[in-house]
Amino acid sequence: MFAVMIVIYMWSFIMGMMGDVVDLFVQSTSGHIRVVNTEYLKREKMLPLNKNIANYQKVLDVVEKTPGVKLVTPRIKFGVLMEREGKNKPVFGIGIDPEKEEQAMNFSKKIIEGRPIMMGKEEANVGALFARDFGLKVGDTLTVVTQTAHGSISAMNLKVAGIFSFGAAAIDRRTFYMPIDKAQYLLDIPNRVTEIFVLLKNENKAPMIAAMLDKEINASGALKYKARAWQEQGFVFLWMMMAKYIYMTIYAIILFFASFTILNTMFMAVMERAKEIGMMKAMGMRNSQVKGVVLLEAAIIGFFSSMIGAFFGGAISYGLSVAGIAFGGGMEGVDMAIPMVMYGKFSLFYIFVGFLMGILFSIIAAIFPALRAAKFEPAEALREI
Amino acid sequence: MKFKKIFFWLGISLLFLGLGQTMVLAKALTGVEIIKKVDANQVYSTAYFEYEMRIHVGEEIRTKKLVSYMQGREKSFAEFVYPVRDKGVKYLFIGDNLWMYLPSVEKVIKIAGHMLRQSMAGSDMSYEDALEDRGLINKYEIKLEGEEKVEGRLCYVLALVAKVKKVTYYKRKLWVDKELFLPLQAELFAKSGKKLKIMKMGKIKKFGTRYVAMYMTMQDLLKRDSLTEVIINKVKFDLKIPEGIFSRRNLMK
Repeated sequence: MFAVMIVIYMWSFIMGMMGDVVDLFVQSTSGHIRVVNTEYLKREKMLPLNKNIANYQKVLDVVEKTPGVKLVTPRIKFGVLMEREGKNKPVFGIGIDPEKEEQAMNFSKKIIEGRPIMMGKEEANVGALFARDFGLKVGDTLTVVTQTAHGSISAMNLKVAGIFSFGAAAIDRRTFYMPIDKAQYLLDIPNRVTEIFVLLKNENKAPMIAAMLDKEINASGALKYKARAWQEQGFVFLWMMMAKYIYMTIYAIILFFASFTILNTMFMAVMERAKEIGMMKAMGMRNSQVKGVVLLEAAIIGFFSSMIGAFFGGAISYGLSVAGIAFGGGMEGVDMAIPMVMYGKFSLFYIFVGFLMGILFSIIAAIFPALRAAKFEPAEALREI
Repeated sequence: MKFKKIFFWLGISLLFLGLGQTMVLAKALTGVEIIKKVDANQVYSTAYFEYEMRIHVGEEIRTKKLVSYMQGREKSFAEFVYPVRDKGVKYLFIGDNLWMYLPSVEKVIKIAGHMLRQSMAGSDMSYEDALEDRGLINKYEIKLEGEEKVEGRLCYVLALVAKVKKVTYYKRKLWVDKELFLPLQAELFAKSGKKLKIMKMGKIKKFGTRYVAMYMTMQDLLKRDSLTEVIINKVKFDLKIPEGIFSRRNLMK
C-alpha cells in the first residue's frame, strides 16, 4: 500500500520536475533547435561575440521556410560585469525581439512589474533577483558597460521597463533582456546575432530537422553555422536520463522491499493454514488449485492495498502538482536554470500503472508461498498441528 | 714595522681598487644602465601626440584616431576623435591608475584588476601594456645578452626576467638601438616561455635632442590574424598643456 503510494507520488513529482526543468531550459536557452556559428560552439562559455551569424536575416528566412518549424527568433547573448559594493558581478545580457519572444516564451506573462521592452528603445527587463541585488526599480536606469565584438569598451544607459521572474534563480539573478537592435549597436555587430532560436511543432523531430537545417543554411558548402537540437545540448538531456535511472532504481528498491512483506505475509498465511490446505488436498484438491487459491488471495490483498495506495499517492501527487515544493533559499545559489518551485505532474496514467504494478508485485511475491503450499503432503500437513 | 706593513697593504688594495674602477669604466654598459638611458631619452616635461591606430583583424581594418597629452611619465590623457562611435571616449592615466570616460552614459569608470589585461579599444595592446612600460628597472632583473641587428641598426639585446610576482609578462626581450638608446623591438613572454606579443618600432625622427619612433606595430600572438599599427602624425614637446587636463573632472567635460 505504502509502496504504491510512494511510487505514484514520486513518479509524478520526478516527471513534473523534469518537465519543468526541460521547459525552462528549452524556453530560455536551448530552444528546440539553436543555430549558431560553428566557431561559437567551441568557446561558448566565453560568449565570443565575434563568432556570430552575419546577415542573420537570410538564415532566419531559410529556417522559417523549413517544414515543421513553428517559430524563429534571433538572440544575442553577451556578458556584462556589473559593479556592486565594489565587487564586479558577471551577468548576462540578452538582446531579443520582444514580439517574437512573446510567442516563444510568453514573455509578458513572466513580467511581474512594469511592461516588456520595446524594439528601438534603450530599455531593459531585469530579473527579480537582479533587481533586488542591484536595487533597481521600474523606471530606474541600468548602466551597462561591456565590450564590443572587437574588444572596445562600450556602454549604454537602459531604462528598466519591467521586472521579470522565470522562477529560476540562475535566470532571475543574472539576466537582463534588451531590444536586439540596441544590443547590436552596443556590441558593434550591426546586422549580426549570436544565435537563432527555433521552436518546432514537434520537439521530438528536432535532431532530424536540425540535420536538415545544417544542409540548408550551409548551402555554400563550408560548415559555417550549426543547428543543434535541444537533445544534443548537454545538460538537460543528461538530467532527464539521470532522473529516469534514479527513479527506476528507487522504484525497484521500494517494490522489492514491499514484495518481501507480501512474501512474508503469504508465507505466514500458508503455514498457518497448513492444516486446512492439507485437508483440502486430502479431499482431492489439485496442486494447481492450491496455487491458484494462494495467488488469488495475494491478488485480492494486492488489489485493495494498491487501491488505497493509489488513492493516497494520487492525492499527494495532485497536491504537489498544485502547490509544488519550494526549494527557495537552497536553490538561489544554484547556478543552473532550475526552477525554485517544482511542481509534480498529476497523471491518471501514473496512478493506474502504479496500481497495476502493486497488484503484479503482490502476485509475484506470492508465487513462492503458493509453490510451498502446493507441496504439502496432506498427511504431513494434517499432522503439523 | 707594523705601520709599514699596514701602509703596504693599504697601498696595494687601493691600487687594485683603482684598477678595478677603471676596468668597470672601460667595460660596456650594463643592462640596467642601458634601460636607464632609454628612460632618459623618453623624459620630457610635457608632450602632445596625434596618432592613429590601425587595427587589423583578418581582412578587416578598423582605424581609430586619438589625441594625447603627457606630463612626464606619470600623467597622460588621451581622447578618441575618430570614428564617430568612439568619439569622446577619454582615458586618464595617473601613476598606476587608469580611468575611462564613456560619453554614451556620461560615466567615468576605473579600469582595474583583470580589466587592465583586456585589449585597449580592440587593439593588440592592453591597458597594462601602456602602464607597465614604466618602472621596468624595479620589476625585472635585467641582463645584457649581446648585440644584434634589427632593420639594419645595431642593437643591444636585453633579457628582462621578472623579480616580482605581479607582472603580466614574466620575461621580456628588448632590442635597444646602440646609438640612439631607443627600443626598436620587443618580445613579451609568459612564464611558460610562450611568446605572447611582438612589438616593433620604426620611422625614427629627431625632435631637438630626442628621438621618437613615429611608427609602431604590435601583435598579440594569442589573437589570430591580428596586428595593430600605431602611426604618430603629430608631435609637440615642452608645450603648455591646458590647465586641469589631468583631472578626473576634465574627463566629464
